[in-house]
Amino acid sequence: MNNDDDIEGLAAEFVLGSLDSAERAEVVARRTMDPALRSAIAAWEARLAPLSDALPGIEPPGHVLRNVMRQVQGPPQVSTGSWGQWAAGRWWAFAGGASAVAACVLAVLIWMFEAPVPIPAKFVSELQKTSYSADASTMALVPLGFEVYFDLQASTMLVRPYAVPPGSSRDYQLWLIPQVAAAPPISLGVISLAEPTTSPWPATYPPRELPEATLAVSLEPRGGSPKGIPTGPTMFAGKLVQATPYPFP
Amino acid sequence: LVAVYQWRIYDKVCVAEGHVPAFDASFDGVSPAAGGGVPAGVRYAEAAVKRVSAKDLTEVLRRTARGERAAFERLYATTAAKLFGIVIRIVGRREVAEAVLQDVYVHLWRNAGDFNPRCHAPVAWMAAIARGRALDAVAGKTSGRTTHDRPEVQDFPAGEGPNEEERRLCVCLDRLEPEKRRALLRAYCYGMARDEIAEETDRPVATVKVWLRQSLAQLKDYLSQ
Repeated sequence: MNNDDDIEGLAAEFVLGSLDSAERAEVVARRTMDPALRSAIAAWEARLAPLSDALPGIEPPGHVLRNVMRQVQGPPQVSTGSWGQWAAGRWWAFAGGASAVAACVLAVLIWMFEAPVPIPAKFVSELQKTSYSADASTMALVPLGFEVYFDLQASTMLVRPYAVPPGSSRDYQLWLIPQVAAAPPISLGVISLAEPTTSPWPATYPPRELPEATLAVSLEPRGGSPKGIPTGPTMFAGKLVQATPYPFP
Repeated sequence: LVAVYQWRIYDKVCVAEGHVPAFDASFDGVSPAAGGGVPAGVRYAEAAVKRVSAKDLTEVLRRTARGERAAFERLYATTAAKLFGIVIRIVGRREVAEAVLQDVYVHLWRNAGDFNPRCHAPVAWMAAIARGRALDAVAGKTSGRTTHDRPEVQDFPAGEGPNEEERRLCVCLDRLEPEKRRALLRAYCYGMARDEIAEETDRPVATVKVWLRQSLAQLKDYLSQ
């Protein structure tokens, strides 16, 4: 974690938009665990909101709405449209021989487990250094961090370290930080610094919430955090993005 | 070749319950050449932001949270131009802005239930989400964005705002030193990081950081008076 204890200044610049990407990722990672930072951010959002209000709007092209509406098909609520889609789907063949009750149960199960919104199958996250210690001037030149790939179809997670210095007597531990403010970070295990490692992806996290989540790496005692939550400083953080195709340059 | 334009407040969507300012149909404060702070090369239709009160918008968000598609479409119709304006100024590129906007509304559809009318004004809440997504999208990707894509934000005119909150912020901004005020506005409107502002103004990054932190602290101070 950075030594910048000026929470107020950090929150203000976060809302203003003037932090660089690593500092921004750090604030995103830190605010989930830091109620003071969270409330400072909310206060700054309210303070500066009139500035946004004063700028003229710009009409977006029509295809944006069409794309949005395509993505928001189906639940939250059950609509007749969704039923039509299910009936046309492959599962109906399975349900054909079953009793009406079984079909209902199956339908509910599918509704619960099969995401109606197309979820990207692959995610990637580039975890950048978040700490600004005395060595910041030299560190900035060396690409330090991790790349993490999630393949939801294969249920695997690949962690690739690049140029990470060995953490002496401590280990680096990877965390998934849900976007929901109250939810605790989920441990994805201690990571190897020597080589890329593939491990099973714990399928308990809802895939549709992955784009909202942040990945962070903390420095922990050997073997990982004894408490199940991060105890050491956050060294790297990054957001998950869809691996390909991705519209940004 | 910095385009200068007057900042005018013409589409207060909603600020306070029961306060719906008149829509200035003959709006002429932003010259089309200057593009209202829109990056050069971006074609745009001037905002057709519909007037809707905070109360109505709160209701629309509540119904969206229940999964009513009609309410969600109304939410989009009344706020998309506002949010697109915010996003495109920050990301600077039309196709990226469209992808971000799409992402913002899919997020709103799934998370409309998080909106708490006791904590936020609806548009401010949505604008904060849009700003966050736009800033995330450009984080670390500044190479394709150039300074002349960002017309000068010259005046945030005091006393013209239709609402008290805004007038106060204008007055407070006017009390800042011009150079600091400019840096602050450029950071907010275009999401410019300190190093970009430093490069543009030919000052050290550390100086820009001091400017921003000082002016933000002053703003907070003035606003609390």
